[in-house]
Amino acid sequence: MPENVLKLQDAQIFQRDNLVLSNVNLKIDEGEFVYLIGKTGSGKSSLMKTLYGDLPLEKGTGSIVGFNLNTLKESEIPFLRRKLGIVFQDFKLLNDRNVFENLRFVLKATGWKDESKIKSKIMEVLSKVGMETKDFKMAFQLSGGEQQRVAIARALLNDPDLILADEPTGNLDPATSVGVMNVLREIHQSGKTILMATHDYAIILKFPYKTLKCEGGELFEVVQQRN
Amino acid sequence: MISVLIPVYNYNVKPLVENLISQLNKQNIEWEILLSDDESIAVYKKVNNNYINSLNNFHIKLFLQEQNVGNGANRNYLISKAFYEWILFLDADVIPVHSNFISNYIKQISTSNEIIAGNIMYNDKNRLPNLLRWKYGMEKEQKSLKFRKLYPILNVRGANFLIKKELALKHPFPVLPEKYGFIDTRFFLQFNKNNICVINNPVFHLGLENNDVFLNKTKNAVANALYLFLKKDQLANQISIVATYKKIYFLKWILAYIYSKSHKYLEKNLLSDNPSILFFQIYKILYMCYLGIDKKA
Repeated sequence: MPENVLKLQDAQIFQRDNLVLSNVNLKIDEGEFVYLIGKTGSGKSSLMKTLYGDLPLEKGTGSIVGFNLNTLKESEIPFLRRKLGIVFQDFKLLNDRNVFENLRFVLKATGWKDESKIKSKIMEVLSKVGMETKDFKMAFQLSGGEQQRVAIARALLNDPDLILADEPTGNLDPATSVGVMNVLREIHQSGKTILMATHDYAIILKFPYKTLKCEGGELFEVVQQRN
Repeated sequence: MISVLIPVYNYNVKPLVENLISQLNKQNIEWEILLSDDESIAVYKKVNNNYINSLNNFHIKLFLQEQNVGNGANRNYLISKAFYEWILFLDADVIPVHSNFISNYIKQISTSNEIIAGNIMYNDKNRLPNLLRWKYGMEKEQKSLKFRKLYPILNVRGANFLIKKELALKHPFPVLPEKYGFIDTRFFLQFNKNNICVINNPVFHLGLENNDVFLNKTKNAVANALYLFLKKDQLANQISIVATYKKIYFLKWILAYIYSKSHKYLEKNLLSDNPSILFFQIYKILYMCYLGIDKKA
């Protein structure tokens, strides 16, 4: 039986002490691309944070890439994050080093030793996002769209079972956003599972996938109208 | 009148080539840039090949070796392809520090020198991820002009020097498996030190190894140095760690014991965020003693 990459049952999501989402039932299978939409404050980000272990899951049950969110220990969080690729709105690249070193830093931290394997892996993920010619650029020399591509490449380094993208186009202009979405689409087409939080409806119309909405303290699937 | 030769292995050549083109174009000279890829991984080959093709300049060529031939053979291949009478060798992972880098070399050509040696510097931007390599470079490899003039042969770097083609054809780079090491020293030992003109013309060395990779490479180099010493190879006399080894030879049993007791502690320091270069120097000599008692030297 193929397992769900992500499964939440009757989960309650808190933002500090406030309950922001209740009765969350969510299943994502391998190879799916799913949007998570909703207004600011609707609980999107808190849900994402719960999924990567930044907030504890206190009520309900949940599992993600083989980890049980109910019994997740502090010490297991780094291992969970190795199986997830996380992309943030603000890229979070290290500005004091170049693109190549940004990615090498991650591989080193996750125990990669062989220098030639490190180089091939880095160039492989940079090729996937179309940044293989800019490995020598310092992070601050890149445009926003380029930084986000590098951040996506970074998320791909450890062959994640699931990519969590938290408003990856939130800081980008529309044309650049489409470029970044094309990259995510290609990654999805190569077999990766992606959950992307966004409030950019134009993107959803242009790249239609299964869409879940946070509203009024609940999470439900919305069916897109097609012309 | 100048052929710039760049051996390439797993490195993006664009920043260096761009820099060179803009500098060479300002000189009123004939020039070419020849690169030879020593069987890098596919992505680098593609990136570099696409970039060189996009320049659409028949003075700039990238050759692709069909198999990994090693640094010496790759350099000799480039020498055989060079057209002009002067050859500037640069490693792919360096970048000129100053915008008069090329003109500094050109100025020296008019004199009767046969080899003109520039120098290597370490860039602060590269410090963080490769602390041990960077610190070692800063403290031990950035030599003063005076010191380099005193011991030119040991301080010329294959990564940045100019040579008359005639001379390079007569005295090619040694072609040896990588593990034998000391390729630059072997190469420059072929020449008379009076023919080497040492100048201050730096490039930044950018492609720094990670701490653990550098430590392993260093351990290999120490093992090679010991091997050369045991074989009574004349090259061994040029290697400073061998000189130190000879001086403390009578203590080697004690030092080997100290190595076995302290190497974990030292390695922890060397791989940390604040490695000590003094510890690094001590570590090397202790390690040589440790290997030495094993090899009954």
